[in-house]
Amino acid sequence: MRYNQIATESHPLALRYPKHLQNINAIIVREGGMIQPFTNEVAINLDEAKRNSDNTDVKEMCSMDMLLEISNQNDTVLSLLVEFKLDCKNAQNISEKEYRKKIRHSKILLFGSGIPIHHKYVFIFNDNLLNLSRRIISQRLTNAFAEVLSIDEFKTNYF
Amino acid sequence: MTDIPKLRIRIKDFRAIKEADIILNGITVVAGINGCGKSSISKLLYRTVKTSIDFNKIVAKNLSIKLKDIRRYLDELSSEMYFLYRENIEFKEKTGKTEFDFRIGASRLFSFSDVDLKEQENKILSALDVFRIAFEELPQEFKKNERYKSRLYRLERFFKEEFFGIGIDDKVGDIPVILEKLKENIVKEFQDAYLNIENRPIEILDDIIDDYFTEDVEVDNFDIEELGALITDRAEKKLSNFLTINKVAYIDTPVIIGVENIGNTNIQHWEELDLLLKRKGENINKQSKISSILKDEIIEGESNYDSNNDTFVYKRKDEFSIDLLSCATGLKSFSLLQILYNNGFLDNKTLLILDEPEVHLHPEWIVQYARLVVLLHKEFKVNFLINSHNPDMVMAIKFIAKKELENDSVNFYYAKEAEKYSFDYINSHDDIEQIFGSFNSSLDRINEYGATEE
Repeated sequence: MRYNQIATESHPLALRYPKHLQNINAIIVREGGMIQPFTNEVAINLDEAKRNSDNTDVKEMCSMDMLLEISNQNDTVLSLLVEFKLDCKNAQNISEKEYRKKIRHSKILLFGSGIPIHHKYVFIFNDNLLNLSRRIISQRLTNAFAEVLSIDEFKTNYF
Repeated sequence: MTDIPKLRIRIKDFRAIKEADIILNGITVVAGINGCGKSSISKLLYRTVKTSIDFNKIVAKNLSIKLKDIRRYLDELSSEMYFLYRENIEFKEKTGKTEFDFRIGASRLFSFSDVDLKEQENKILSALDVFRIAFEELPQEFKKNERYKSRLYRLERFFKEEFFGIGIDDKVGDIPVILEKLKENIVKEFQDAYLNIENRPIEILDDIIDDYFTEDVEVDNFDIEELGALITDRAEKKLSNFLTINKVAYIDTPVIIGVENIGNTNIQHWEELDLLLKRKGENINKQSKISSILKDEIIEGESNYDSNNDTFVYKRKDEFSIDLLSCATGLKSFSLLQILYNNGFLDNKTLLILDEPEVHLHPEWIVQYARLVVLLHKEFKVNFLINSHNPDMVMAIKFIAKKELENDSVNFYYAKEAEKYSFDYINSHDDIEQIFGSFNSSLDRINEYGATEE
């Protein structure tokens, strides 16, 4: 499945909070990324949308960083949740609880959007910790639903 | 000069290894897929260090093999002499050697384990003189007796042909002459042995390496350095002594512990490990942190070698006692370390080579094993070469060592396929990212079967 810009732009959250629909490169920069391989692609900055919510319960939630829509040739559209871990210096600090919470809370946030969530959750790491993080996340989260990618791999796999 | 490694092994075109340059400065971990040559590195290092340490014993053993036929001759001769003495009471009384038994003497003379070769040479030459004198003292009428004559003729003829290649018509002389000539042969063999001990020729190692691997190998396609100096000095054709290592063990499986007749397996490093586990000795640091981790945290008891019954026994904290042979294999892995620790084998001059030590261990025990390795190096400076393809083992060593040790004492290597069935070994220092790149191919395989919903 590949990135679908139209579906992303027309996601209920994007329509309700258009200012949080942001350029993916800009989101990467804010997350500490050193490379920006995208051009005009946009995604919903879920973290910001959550922080600016009027609802205090939502504010305190611990969500994934970014949401974008992907689709296949049959026009099946799914929401892809992405978490940036570009500032992670030590793979030992990967916390199973934190990651599970992020996934759970993100699903609560997106409940009612009418768009199903993709069964893989993307965690983006820098190249120097990619393989170790992949192993640790895979072991700690048990199921193969967590996909650990570099920025470049993320672009190649989903765009 | 402080960056010169303690040990370094360089290998080129040896079995599956295309090129490897591995340094040992404490704990070295080599990772790679099955069949990439990890065990070949271990075996080359082990066999070289072991040969260097045991060099004099090996020379003595080789000498004993060379003198095997002479010993056989003396065994036969002593048997005959014993027979002649027993048959001839009058002669016994004449010589006063009523209790002398030649048969006992010969087997002792040619036992070369841990002996002073010069002393042994003198004993053998003296024994030959005793035989010669005893034979010369035999009464002439006795020698002419047909019954004994034929027996002695058989010996004389066979051994003349055996040692001097002389036929029936070429008379060298009788038994005293043969004995004198054998003395010359013995002196020459001992001289060669003394020269070998002095010069430590590397061909002795080459022969051992050649025998150790079951197929033809290029025995000189590797070198080992210690503190920057060549131990396998091929220009000088010499195998030097190691200064920093005086004990070595190669452990590729814990299942051999307690197995009877390990010698029948013909696997040399198993026999050698068996001897190390049965060695007598005591660790003066028996009440250390390591001892407590093993005894109280991990195996909750103590394993020992019971020399009276020639068995290994595991005694649990609640006094339950059982033959280690029938215990869980994981428990044997730790028992092995515990026994070597308790018998004083593990210290700063020990090199422990561990081949996939994680096999048979539960993931939690893999981490405990890694912890012990790091602590054994930290507390007692034991040197390690570890082969592994287990993510938990590699990760545990990395993170525990990072906390407990100085950075430069741990080195990670990974095998990278250079061409089909041929691997280069890359030093990634203390970084394990590349190693995990290879490990994670298993995750990709699992993912091929689809992700599951959280």
